[in-house]
Amino acid sequence: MTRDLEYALQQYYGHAAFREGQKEIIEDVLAGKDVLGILPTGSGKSLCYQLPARMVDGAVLVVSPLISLMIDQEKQLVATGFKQVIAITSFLSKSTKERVMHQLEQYKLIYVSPEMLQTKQLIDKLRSIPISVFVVDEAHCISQWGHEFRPDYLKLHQVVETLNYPTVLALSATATPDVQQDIIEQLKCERMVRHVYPMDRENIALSIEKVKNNQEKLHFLIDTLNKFPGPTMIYFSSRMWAEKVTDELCKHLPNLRTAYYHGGMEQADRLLIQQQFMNNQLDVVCCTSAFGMGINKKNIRLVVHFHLPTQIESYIQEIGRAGRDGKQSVSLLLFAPHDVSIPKRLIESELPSPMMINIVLQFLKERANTNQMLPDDKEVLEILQINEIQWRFLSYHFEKHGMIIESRILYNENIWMNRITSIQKVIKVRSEYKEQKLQELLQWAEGSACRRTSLFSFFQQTVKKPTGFCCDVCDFTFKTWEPSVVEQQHTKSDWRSAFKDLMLQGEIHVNEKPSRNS
Amino acid sequence: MFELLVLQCLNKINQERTVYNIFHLLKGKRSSQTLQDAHIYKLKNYFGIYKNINKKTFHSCIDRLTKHGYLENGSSSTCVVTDKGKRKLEQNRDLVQRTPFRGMEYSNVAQILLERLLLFIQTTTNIVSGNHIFIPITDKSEVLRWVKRIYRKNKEMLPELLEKLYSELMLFCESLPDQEACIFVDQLTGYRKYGLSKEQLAMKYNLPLEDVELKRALIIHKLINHINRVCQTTDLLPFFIKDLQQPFFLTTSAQKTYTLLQKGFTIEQITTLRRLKESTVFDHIVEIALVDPTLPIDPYVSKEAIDNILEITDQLHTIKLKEIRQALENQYSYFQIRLALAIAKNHRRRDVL
Ligand SMILES: Nc1ncnc2c1ncn2[C@@H]1O[C@H](COP(=O)(O)OP(=O)(O)OP(=O)(O)O)[C@@H](O)[C@H]1O
Ligand SMILES: [Mg+2]
Ligand SMILES: [Zn+2]
Repeated sequence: MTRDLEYALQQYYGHAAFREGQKEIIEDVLAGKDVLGILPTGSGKSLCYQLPARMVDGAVLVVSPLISLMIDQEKQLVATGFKQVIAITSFLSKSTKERVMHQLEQYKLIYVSPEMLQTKQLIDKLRSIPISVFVVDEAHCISQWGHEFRPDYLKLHQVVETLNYPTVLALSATATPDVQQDIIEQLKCERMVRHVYPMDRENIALSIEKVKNNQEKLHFLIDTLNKFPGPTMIYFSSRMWAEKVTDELCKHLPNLRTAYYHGGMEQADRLLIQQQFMNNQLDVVCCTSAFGMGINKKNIRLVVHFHLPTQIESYIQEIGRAGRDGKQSVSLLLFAPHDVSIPKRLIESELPSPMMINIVLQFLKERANTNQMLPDDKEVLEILQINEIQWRFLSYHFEKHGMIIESRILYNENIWMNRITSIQKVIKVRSEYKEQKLQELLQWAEGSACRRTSLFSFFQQTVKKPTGFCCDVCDFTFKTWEPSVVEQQHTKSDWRSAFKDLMLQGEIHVNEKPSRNS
Repeated sequence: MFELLVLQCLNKINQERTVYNIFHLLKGKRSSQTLQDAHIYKLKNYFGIYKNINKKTFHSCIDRLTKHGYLENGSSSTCVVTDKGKRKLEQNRDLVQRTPFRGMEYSNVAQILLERLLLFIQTTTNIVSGNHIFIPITDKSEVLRWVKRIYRKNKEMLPELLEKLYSELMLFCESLPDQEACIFVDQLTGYRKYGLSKEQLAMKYNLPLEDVELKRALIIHKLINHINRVCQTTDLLPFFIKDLQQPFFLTTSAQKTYTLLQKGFTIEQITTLRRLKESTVFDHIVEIALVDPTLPIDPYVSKEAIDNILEITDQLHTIKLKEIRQALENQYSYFQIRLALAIAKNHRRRDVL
């Protein structure tokens, strides 16, 4: 059996050996045990279900939080010749979706979102084919999002039951002991085998740079990138800022190839930017959290947070894009005194305010009094000028309390008053919880202890010995860092020769040299 | 370019339609109303040239035009082009009057042609370079299938195909202004080189995002034109659109009505058969009359009626249905008036306005 696994790894992936934890997890999954697998970012969690997909009889179903992440993995697998994979997303055209549904049994690996799993058609279809393993990737999302705007995460245990209890595998790179417990409880898999490995990454140095304001952040960034023009990701809390800083970087560092990426862009353009980055055509990507999760570029040397994230889990997930080749890499958080207001506002925008609840109630009351149904979500958002996250939270709770049933509004003044009070209580609890998560991050950033030990103290007892630098408190400064820089491809500026090269019509030029002189 | 174009469209509809009709026109909404507007107001060339446009982009354009004094708000969602706006259009005659866009004819084919071309080039350059693993730049399954089919058929002669395509496209690019040739080439994806995104093109050429969108559409329209006029039958490029051309451009629903009409069904029969409202079938007939001059219309409106209607139209200098109807003492239905206007465009081949 063991030899078989190694053989399969070699045959399908060409890897010589398993990484820490992989084999233990795969063996248990193949033995039919439910598993909670906690492994650091970039350690190869995907392999823990992709390899079994080739070995078990039935299919492996993977629940994933982001559509782009699913499509990415699907494309990568197809590109390497594994064709029995499908990501069932809202992007599938109607005809494709029908075809896929019709022949679902021919797939070995099926990616879906938790929301998709609530559609009857899909569930009926899934029930009719053998599902051997049920995977929840990025399982901390159950705890992070399930209680709020992605309630379908909390219904996964029902799906497991409906599918007649396939083996469950939950994977994450950032889950505190509390969150681990929550995952197990929400999935109702009390007998889960825990394979929990230290989550810290030995080759990522953690550094925080305290500055006065955004202007200083920009200066520091320009200075740093001028010295280290290696592959870099910069995270922002808003699209506007990602675009703005891209502009500035292009202006000040014209030799640096910088572009932005955010959720406001079209799918095709996003794909181009992502692939350019993967392909070393870009040095720097300024992005929002829409980019990142699952991004698996080997040589990212620097991950910058221009704004504070809302919680430690996101931070760890995001810096985990760095140094996937094991080489020394750096995470830099730019931190200014009033920065905390940004994540605070983000948190507030994720939950409905009392005033907003009143507006929504007024609206529902009017509709009910005139015997009208609830319009579809898109229309509600337009009419009420409320954001999607807030509305999803509210509608989930309205439905849970029987105030809305299948778009019918069952208005009753007295009953509703009570229910609203209890919804408001939930909001309060969630706000406080999120506030506390933010405070943790803040305390960490403001603290003066070793960044590594203090950051991971929320997750585990000890940290591994860093392979290079530890953190700005212990030993790291940008002065002593000497990362390897990827050589730039030479691109031609006049269209005739660019076109000729692209169409492979040129002779091979021997004396082409990268043209960077910075 | 985008702003001028919107201004031009608003100028043509001359307050008789709302700004939203222009939005739908640019987006290429396949509704009878939009198609008819395009014909009547001679905006056919702009039909569907900006398929990705969203309300926000459109409104901020209207706002900018208003702020610059080119537009004033009219009643109920209409806009008036001011004298300043008219002068602006006059100054840019070349761009707006002799527009190289061919929206009504090409917009449907354009997007698919572009995607086929991009994916074909990506596929062949990668495979010829010995790389069989790459992420395709489009995930539209019809495009993927098309390219796969071509690839399978011509596996053995990819380098030759690539060379042929290169020289054909080179010829085309040489016919473009420099900036357009650059944009065309920059957006291509090859071996180890992914094309530039819209946002990157905008930054590189210092253009608004909307203009990049339009420029890309424009280039493809020119390419289709080039294929139709310059390419030989033995060339490779015509192959990319051969199966895409449509004789008439009708909404799917109107197409069905059209088939029934040709089989001799009456309006009443079609209404019951297709369970449509009468007014919907009327819409279809007007739509068909606009593109098919051979459609017999005597059953719906007499020769005399058409003359009356067109005369009044000329006198009043309007194509506002309501005014025309009143001027003719409500003798004719709106359907008849619209049909007469449609016929005027096609048969007499003269300007209504
Ligand atoms: N046993 C192995 N030997 C060598 N490389 C491996 C092995 N297992 C996985 N990898 C490689 O490690 C990289 C990261 O894998 P993967 O994307 O699955 O990480 P992950 O744990 O899911 O990370 P994240 O938490 O960021 O999603 C991949 O490029 C994969 O090919
Ligand atoms: Mg992963
Ligand atoms: Zn330290």
